[in-house]
Amino acid sequence: MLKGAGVSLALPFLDIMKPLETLAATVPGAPASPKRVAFVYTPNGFWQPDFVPTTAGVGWKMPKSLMGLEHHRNDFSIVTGLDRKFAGGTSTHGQCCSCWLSSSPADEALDGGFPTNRTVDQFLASKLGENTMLPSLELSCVDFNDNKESRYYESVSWYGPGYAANTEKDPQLVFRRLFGKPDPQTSSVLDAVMDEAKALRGELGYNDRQKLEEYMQSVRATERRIELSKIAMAKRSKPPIPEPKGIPEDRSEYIKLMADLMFLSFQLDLTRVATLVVDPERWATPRMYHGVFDKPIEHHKLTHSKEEGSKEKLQKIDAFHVEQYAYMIEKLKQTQTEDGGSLFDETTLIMGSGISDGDKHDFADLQVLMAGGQIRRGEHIKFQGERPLADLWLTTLNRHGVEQQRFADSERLIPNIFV
Amino acid sequence: MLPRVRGSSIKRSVRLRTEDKRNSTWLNCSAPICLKALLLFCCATVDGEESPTDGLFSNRILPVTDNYCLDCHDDNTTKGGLDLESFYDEAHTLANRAIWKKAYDMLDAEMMPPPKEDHLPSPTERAELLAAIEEYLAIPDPNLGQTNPGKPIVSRLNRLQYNNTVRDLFGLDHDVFILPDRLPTRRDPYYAEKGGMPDSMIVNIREFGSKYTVLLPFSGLPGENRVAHGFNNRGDAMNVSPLQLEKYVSIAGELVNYQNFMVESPRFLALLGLDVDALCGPDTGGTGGVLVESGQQFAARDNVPASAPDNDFSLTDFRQDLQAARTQGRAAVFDIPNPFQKELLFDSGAIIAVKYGSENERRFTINPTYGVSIIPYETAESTANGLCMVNSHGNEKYFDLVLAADANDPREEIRSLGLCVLGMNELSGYVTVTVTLSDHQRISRTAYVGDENTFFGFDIPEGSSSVKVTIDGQAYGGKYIAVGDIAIATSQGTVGRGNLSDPWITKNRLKPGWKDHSPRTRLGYFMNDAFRRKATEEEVDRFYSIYRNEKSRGASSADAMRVAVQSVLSSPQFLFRLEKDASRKDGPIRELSDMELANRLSYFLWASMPDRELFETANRETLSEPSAFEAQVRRMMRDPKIRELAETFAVQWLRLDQIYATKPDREVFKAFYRDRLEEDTLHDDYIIEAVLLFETIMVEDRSILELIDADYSWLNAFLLDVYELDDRQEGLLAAAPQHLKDTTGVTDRTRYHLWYRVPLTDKTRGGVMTMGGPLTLTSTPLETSPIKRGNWMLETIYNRPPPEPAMAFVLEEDENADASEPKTLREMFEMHRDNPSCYTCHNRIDPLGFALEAFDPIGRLREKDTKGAVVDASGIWNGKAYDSPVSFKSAIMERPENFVRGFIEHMLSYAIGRKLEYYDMATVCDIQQTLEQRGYRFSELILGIVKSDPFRKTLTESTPVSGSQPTHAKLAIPPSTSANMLRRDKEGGTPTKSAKAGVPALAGFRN
Repeated sequence: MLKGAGVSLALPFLDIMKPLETLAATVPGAPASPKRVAFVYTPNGFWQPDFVPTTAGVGWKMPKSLMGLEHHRNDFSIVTGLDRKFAGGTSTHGQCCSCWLSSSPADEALDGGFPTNRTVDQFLASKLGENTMLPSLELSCVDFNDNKESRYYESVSWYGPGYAANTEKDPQLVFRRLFGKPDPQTSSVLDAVMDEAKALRGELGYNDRQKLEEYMQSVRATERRIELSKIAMAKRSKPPIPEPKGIPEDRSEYIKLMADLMFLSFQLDLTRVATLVVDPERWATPRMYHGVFDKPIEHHKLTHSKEEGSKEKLQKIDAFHVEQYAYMIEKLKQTQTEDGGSLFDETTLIMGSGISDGDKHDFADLQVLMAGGQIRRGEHIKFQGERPLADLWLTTLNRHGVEQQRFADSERLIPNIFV
Repeated sequence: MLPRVRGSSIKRSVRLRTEDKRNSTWLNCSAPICLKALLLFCCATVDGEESPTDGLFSNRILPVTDNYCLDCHDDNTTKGGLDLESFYDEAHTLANRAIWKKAYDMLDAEMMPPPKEDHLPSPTERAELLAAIEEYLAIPDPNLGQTNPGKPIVSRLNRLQYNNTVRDLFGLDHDVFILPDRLPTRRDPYYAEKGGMPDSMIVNIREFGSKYTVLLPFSGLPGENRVAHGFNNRGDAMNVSPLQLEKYVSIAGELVNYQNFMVESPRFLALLGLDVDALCGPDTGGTGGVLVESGQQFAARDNVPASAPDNDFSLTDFRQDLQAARTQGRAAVFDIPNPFQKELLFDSGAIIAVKYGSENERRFTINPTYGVSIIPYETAESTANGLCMVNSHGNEKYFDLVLAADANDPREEIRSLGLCVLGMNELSGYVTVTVTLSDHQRISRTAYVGDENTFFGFDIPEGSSSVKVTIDGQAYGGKYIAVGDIAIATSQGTVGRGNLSDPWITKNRLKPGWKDHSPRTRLGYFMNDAFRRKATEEEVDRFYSIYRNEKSRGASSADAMRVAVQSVLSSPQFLFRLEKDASRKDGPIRELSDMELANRLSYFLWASMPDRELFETANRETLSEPSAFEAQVRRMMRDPKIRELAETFAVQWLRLDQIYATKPDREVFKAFYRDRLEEDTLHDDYIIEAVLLFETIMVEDRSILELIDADYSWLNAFLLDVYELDDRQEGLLAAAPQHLKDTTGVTDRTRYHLWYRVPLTDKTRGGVMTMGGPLTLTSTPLETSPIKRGNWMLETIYNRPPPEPAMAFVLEEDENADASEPKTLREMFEMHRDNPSCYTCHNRIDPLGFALEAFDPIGRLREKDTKGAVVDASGIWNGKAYDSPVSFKSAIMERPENFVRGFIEHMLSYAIGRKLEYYDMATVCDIQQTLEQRGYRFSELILGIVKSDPFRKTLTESTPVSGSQPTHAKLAIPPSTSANMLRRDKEGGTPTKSAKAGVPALAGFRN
C-alpha cells in the first residue's frame, strides 16, 4: 500500500514501469476488451436546486440543469451526498480540484499543508495502464495565459504528495503526443541523458536525488511512450483524424475536441485512464461560454453573487457543462472498440466537482455523474449523513482490479454503483 | 435588519471568561510555573552544565504564555492544533521551534491572544515576550552547533530562467521563445550601468499578448504557477513529469535544428564546426543569406550633405580612413549591391555577409534582428546602387542590425563605423542611431533629419568584435525609416583579444573561430557553459560518445553535434540547479563553493547563468573573498540584466503579473480604456509606473522606504490625467529633452510613451500602495474590495498574509431590511467584524482596506463610492488616526520597520528559492539592523542577502536537523518523536494515552 506513506516515498508511478522488452512483448496480446475510466472535472460546484434530483432511486424527475441528459436517462446515474473533509489552513478553492481525486483526509497534509496525494486515476493507471503507450492521459481546457493561481487550482491528477501530473492544454500537442512520429533523434537524446542521470545520482545529496528520481522516471516514461508508439504506429497507416490546429475559439468545441482526443486514445488503446480539467476554481477571470452568454462571465463570482439573475446564470453554466457530458456519452456510444464493441460498454465516464454549493464552499454532499456500460444506470444513488467520497473511488478501484482495502479516508465499498 | 453572517460551520467558540474562571486559570498556572523554574534550576545544577537556552524559554516565555494562552492552547483544548503544554522539555521545544515562529507572528500582529479577549498582555509584556521569542528562535540548532542555513537549492530552471540561460549560453540578443509574462515594454538604453535615471524617457509598449521578436516564435514551454504567498522560482513547487520532460527534449530539438539559430548565434555555428559562408547562397537550406563583395567607396553617389551633430569624425575623414584601411585589408563597405535586384525581405536570421580583406578571406556580417527589407524607395535617394534598407513592418521605424567585424574570427574588432540615414521627401524628425558594444556600453547619436541624407559616424572602443546598431526613427515622419551604405574599418585581426588556446575559463564563451578545434574540445567548452561549472572529462566523454554514435550512423559532423547539444540541453545538469555535495563533507554545514555561489548570484540577480567575468572569478576561487565578492555583486547590479529583478521579483511581489486579468467595467470606467478599440488600456501604464519606481530605487541605490513613501513618481500623460495632475503636463513636456518631446510627425501614441519623473508635493501618490496598479488589481470590475486591498497590504507590504478564512461567508442584507436605512459597505463589514471568529483577522485587514477606499476601482481618488455614499477612509493604524491617503501613509510610516522586515523576507525567499523557516528569522533581523544603520539603501539589502548564511551556506547531505518540516500545526508534535511519549497529564502525573510502557519518565517542565 502506497497510500499515505509520506513524501519521501519513492515516486509511485515507477512501479508500472516494466522493462521495455517485456512491455513490447505483451502489447499485442493485451486483453480483448480492456476497461477504461475517464474523469471530467468542472469547477465551483453546481447550483444545487437545479442539479440534484428531488427523489432517489429510479424514475426521478430530470432537474433543469440535467435536461441535456434527457436522451441519455438510461445511460448514466447520479450519485449524491458523498463527502470530502476540508483540510484547514489552505485555500478552500485550491483544494477543490487538487483533492477531488485524492480525497485525502485533512491530517494527511504532506504537501506543505495541502492534502494532495496519489489520486485514484493514478492508482487505476498502475493496473489498467500497464501495457498502454501512456499509462494515463492528463488533459485540461484551462487555456488562460497567466499562471495566476497556485498549481493546486489546475491539477486534478497527482502521482504522489506534491507531485502533480502536468496537463496538456493544446489539442494540437495532444494529437502530436498521441500520434506523432517519434523523432529518431529523441531516443538518442534520452539514452544520453539517462546515462548522465545515472552517473550523477551517486554524487548528489538526498534532496537532489529525489528531484533526479523524478527526472529519471520521466525519461523512462518517455522512452516507454516512444517505444510503444512505434508499435502502435506499425498497426496503422496514418493518424485517424487530421491534426487539430490549436485551441478552438468556441468553448464547447474546445471541450469536445479534447474529449474526442481522449476517446480516440481509448479506442486505439493508447491509454485507458484519462482526466480532463474543464476549468479550475479561478478567481476573477471571465470566461466566454459561446452560445450561452453574449459576453465573458465569471463563474466563481456568480456563485457568491446576490445579484438578480446570477443563479440563473449559474444554472446555465451547469447545463452547459452537462451538455458537454452528454456529448461525451453520445461519442462513446458511437465509437467502436477494436474488437467491434461499443466503447461506451467498456468505459466509465465520471464527471463532478470538488465542491457542492459553490457559495458555501461546501465540501460535503458532492454530486457525481457516472456513465458507461459498467454502471447501474438511470438511478439517483443518494447518501444521507456522512459518507466519504473516497468510498466511491475505492469502489471504482476494486471494480477495475486495483484491489485495495482502503483509499484515503474510505470506510467501505459501495455495493450498488456498478452492474 | 442587520446584515448577518451566513454559513453553517461558524463556531461561536470564543468563550467569555468570567472573573472566576480567570482566577482559577491563574491558580492552575502559577504553581507549575514555580515548579518549572525550580526544576530547570535543579537540572542545571545536577548536570553541571547550563541549559542551552539559559532559562530563556522557561523564564521569559512560558510564564507569559501560560498566563495568556493556556486557556485555549492547553492539551485539552489545543485550538488550532496548538498544545502549548507539550513544550515542557528543552530538547523537544528546541526541536519544534517552527511553531514558535508562528506564535511570534500571531503575537506580533496582535492577532493572538484574540484582541477581543479581556485578558490581554500589556504592550510591554507583549514586547518583552516577542523579544524573548526572537532570541529563542535565534539559538543555534543544537544538532548543528550553528544556525541552520537551509537545504541546498534543488530546482528545475523555471521558464524564464530556461529562456535566459539558453539566450546567454548562445549569445542571443532576444528571448528564445515568447514569454507570455514578459513585460510588454522596450526601453533602450537601460539605465542600470549609468547609476542614475533621467528626468524623462521614452518607454515603448507593445500590446500585451502580441508576438514579439524571438528566436522560436511558435514554440515555448509551460509556465510555472507561483506558490501561495511566494514566487514562481520555488524549487519545492516545481516537479518534472513525463510531459514536462518531453517538452524540454522537444524544444531543445527544435532549437538545434532551427536554421536561423545558426545565424543568430555564431557560437552555435562554430560549435557545429561551420562558418558564415555555409549560411549564404542557394544551398543554405532556406536561411536566405547573401554573400556579396565589398563596395569600393562609401556613399559613392556623394549625396550625403548632412551629418549628425555629435559624430566622432566628418564624412570626408571617414572616407579617407576607409581608403587607407582598404589597402591593408581591413575595411568593408556594404553599399547594397547587385544581388539585391528585387525586393528582399530579411527577417531575423537571414544574414548579409560582405567579403573583404587582402584575399577576400574576411566576412563582415549584417544580421537584422527585426524585419528589414531591401528595396528601391521612391521618395528616398539611395547613396549608391539605388536600393535602401527599411523596416519591413510599416510604422515600426525601428530595427536592429548586428554587425560582426569578421564572423569567422572573433579577434577582429570594429574600429570605426559609418552609416547613412536617408532623408525622405517632405518628411522630417529626430532619428537616433545607437551602437551597443560587446560590454553593453551604448553610444547614441541623435540628428534632426530633414529630406537630406544624413551621415552617422562612430569611433568604436577596443574590445568589440561585434556591435548592435539600433536605428530608431520613431520620431521621424511617415511609416518607414531608411538606411543606405554601412561601412566599417577593423582592427586587422592580430590585435584582438581572443587567444584560442586559452583554458576554458578565461575563454569560457565558445566563440566563432572555435570551429577549428576538435569536436570534442568544442563540446567540452560548451558543456562548461551549459552546466555552469567545469564539466569533467568523463562527462564530456559521455556526451562526445553521442556525437560519435551519430557519426557512425552516417550523420554529418554538424548533425551529430546537434544531437549532442540537444542532449546537453535536455540533461539534468542543464535543467536543474544542483548544488552537489562535492569535496567538502566535513561537518553538518558547508560553505558553498565559489562556482555554486556564482550560480546563486546570477540566478538571483539576473534570473540567468553567470557571465564570463563571474565564471572567471569563481574559477580562480576568489569570488568568496569579501572585497571581490562585493565588487562582483555591485558590478552585476550595474549590468542591464539586473532588469530581471524589477521585471520578475518586483512584478511578482506586487502581484502585478495578475493585472491583465482584471477587467474594469468598460461602461463605468471609460478612462481605463484609452481608445475606441479599447485595446489600449491602463494595464501597461500601471505596471510601468511601479516598475520604474522600483528601478529608480535600484539603479540610484535609494532607500527602499521610497517603495511605499516616495516624493516622486513616474507618470505619463495618461496617468497624469487619471491622477488629476494634468495641470503639470505642459511644464513637464517643456522640461523634457528636445529629442524626446519633438512633436513633428509624432502621434499621440508616441507622446504617451514619454514618461516623466514627477516630483510630488502631495503624498496622495508616491509609493506602491497608492498606485493605480495595485488598487485596480484588488478591485472587481465594478467595485472596490476592501478585503482584497487589506489582504494585498498584509501580504505585499508586510509579508504577513492573513490565514485562509475558516469558511466562506457572504455579507447578506436581511430581506426584511428597512430600505430607508441602507447600510454602507463599511457598516456591513463592521457588523461582520463583530463576530469574534472574524475579528481576529479583520481587525488587521479592514483598517488597511478601508484606508484605500479613498480610491475607486481603477485607482482614481474619489469622494463617493459607486453607490453614491460618501467614502469614509478613516481609521487607526500603528496607533495613529488617519482620514486620508496622506495621513494613512504617515500612519504606515510610524513603523516602517514592519514593511522593511516583510520586504527583506520577500526578497530573501526569492533569492534562495525556498520558503523561509523559523531559523531564517535571525538572518532577517541582522539584515534589518544593517539596513537601519545604512539608510535602507537598496544595495545594502542586496549585499545583506547575498552575504547571509542562508545564501552562502548549506546543510550537507542528510544532516539531521530539527524543525525543517513544513510549518503545519499537526507537525508541532510529530507522532514519532520520543518526547511525545513523555507527555504527562497535568493533574495526576499519569502518562497519557500516547505514553508507552517501559519508557522512563524524565523530569519534564510541566510535572
